[in-house]
Amino acid sequence: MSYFGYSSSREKNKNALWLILILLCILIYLLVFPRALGKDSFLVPLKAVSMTSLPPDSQTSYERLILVGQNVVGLTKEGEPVFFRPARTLEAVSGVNDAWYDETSDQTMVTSASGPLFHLSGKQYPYWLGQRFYTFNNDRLGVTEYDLKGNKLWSKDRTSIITALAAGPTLTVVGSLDGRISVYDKTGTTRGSFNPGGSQYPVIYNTAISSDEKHILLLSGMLPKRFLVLERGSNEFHPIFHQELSDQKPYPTPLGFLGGDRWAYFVSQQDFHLLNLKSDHEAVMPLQGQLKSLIYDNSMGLMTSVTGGGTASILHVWSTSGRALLFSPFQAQHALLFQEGNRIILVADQFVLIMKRELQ
Amino acid sequence: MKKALPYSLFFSFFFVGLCLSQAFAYDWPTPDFKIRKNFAQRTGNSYEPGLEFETTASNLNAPEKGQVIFSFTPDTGSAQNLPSSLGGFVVVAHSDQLRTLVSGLQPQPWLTSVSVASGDPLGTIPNAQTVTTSPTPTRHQLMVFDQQLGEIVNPLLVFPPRADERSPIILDVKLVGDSPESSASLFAHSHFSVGYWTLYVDAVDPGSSDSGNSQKGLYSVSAYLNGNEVFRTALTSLQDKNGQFTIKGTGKPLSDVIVGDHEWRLGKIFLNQGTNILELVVKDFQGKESGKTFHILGSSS
Repeated sequence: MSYFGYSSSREKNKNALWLILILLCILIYLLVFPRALGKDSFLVPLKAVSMTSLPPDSQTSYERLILVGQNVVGLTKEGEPVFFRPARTLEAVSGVNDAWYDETSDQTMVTSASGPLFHLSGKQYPYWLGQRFYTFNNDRLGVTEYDLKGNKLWSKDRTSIITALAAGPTLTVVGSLDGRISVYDKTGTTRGSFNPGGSQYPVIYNTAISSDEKHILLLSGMLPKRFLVLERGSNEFHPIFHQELSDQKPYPTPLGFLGGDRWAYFVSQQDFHLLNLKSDHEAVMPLQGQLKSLIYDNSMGLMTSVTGGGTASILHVWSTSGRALLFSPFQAQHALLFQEGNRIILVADQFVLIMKRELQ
Repeated sequence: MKKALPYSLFFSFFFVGLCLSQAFAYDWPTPDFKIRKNFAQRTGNSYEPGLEFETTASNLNAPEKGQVIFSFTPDTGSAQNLPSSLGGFVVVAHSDQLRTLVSGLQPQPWLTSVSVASGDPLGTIPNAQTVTTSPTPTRHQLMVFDQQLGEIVNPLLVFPPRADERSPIILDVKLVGDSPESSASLFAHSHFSVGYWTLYVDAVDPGSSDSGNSQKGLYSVSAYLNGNEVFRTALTSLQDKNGQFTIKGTGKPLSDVIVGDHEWRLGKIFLNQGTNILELVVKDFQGKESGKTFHILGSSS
């Protein structure tokens, strides 16, 4: 039985009039308040690879080494894993660069995909920040930078444990337990220092430096802990933004820049804070567990993160305004995200998931 | 006047007692331990910034009341997972501006900075054997930082004294000329040419009999040439000068003084024509000392 089937022609006209009126109202509303239809971001899985069946040595060339948990995986540019093996003693990786301590020769080996770069005698504690290579000495009371030919660039001892290290293209920021940061250039010359103060117990918990080396971020002090943004002046770095935090975690929590130096992020309590460094507008997003990995898509303005605790992990996609766009739980203790074009690669414990970002 | 003496004695003892109780308000992280390396002791290219000790205990405790301000557990997924030999460690800030670090443990799962009392557990020792038949000792670091002065302090200045029955041993004393080949031990030679020589001392502290075969570093070294002091250094604390460790009170870089495992470079001395008397005194922290006197014949040939 259709609605129009048994009604009179007068009623039909009346209904048609109402229908036209409603359509007209919708049309007027859309004309007066125009809005684009929202697009949904989807992560489309392309390939999932279990790494347990992979060879322990590289048979084919790789573009990236990833340290995930106690294992190292080599990946092609497209994110395809080519080898998977247990991490060596004190192994540190970055891009295709690798460093570890070889007990049999009592040397610290530094290699690239093309082969050995150099070695250092004895047991060193290697650390990469991008393409820059450091070793820690004297139980984290000293740090040394080498170039990729093995030449020592500079070395500094401190009378306090080094708690945070960050590097830009030319500068290195060293933060320590005494609540002080020092900024060194590639010759080891001091280019700035800062002691945030304002807390009962001065400590540097984390630091980051922007790619243009104009800004430094700090998580410092206890009671209260504080978040600071420093800006490079003519001679020194000086604070341009600070915020007291209720967080009292006595260990380093995530901190960094996104989208060049447009955004600064940090984790406080159970929240993810995203600060627009141009407008000082801050978005706060609740986190479930700890932030394990984070990437930012510059073209879409979207953040993709892995959070969680223990083996319970969650893949999130967020907008910079704090709107959650995607939420997908999975099981993995160690997880790492990175981006290659429009592909997002998730390395989690013993599998690799290659995804493609699509807007529909 | 006669009655004032006992009162003044009483107050003197009271004051000394108060000072001692303040001085040793700190207690060792575990009662059962052996010191393996002393403060500023060199091994290869690295220096011991505190004390290295070994223990069979299953947990380590706060040396004194304070605030837990740093807790580190190595994990590849953590922020600022900086590598070192420390393993997991905990730093407690105390009311006297000192901060103590105890390493080689799995810290308590603190989610916030907490106040701890003296003796409160800081963490458990990973791989500590619970079987008491033959527990394997684990090695740890104990460091003391002076937040006010920006120094690393010799922990033995802060912690209660340890029993020590053995005096330090001078293994070798040598003079090195301008060319490296012009080097000779004073144990084997007594004739040297007149002029400047660099004086080196190789000495160890065997410590107490329960320290096993460990040869620890010294606390202080003094040298006198013909009755004049030419060197005196005690390792009380280290300072940072232009990114280099320097020995407090001397301003000398640590790497210029302690140049090898147990080897101290005391600097240049000038040998005169005729007999030169060189006296050396080495001490451990407990004040036990050893000395050697050498009669060096300076000749112009």
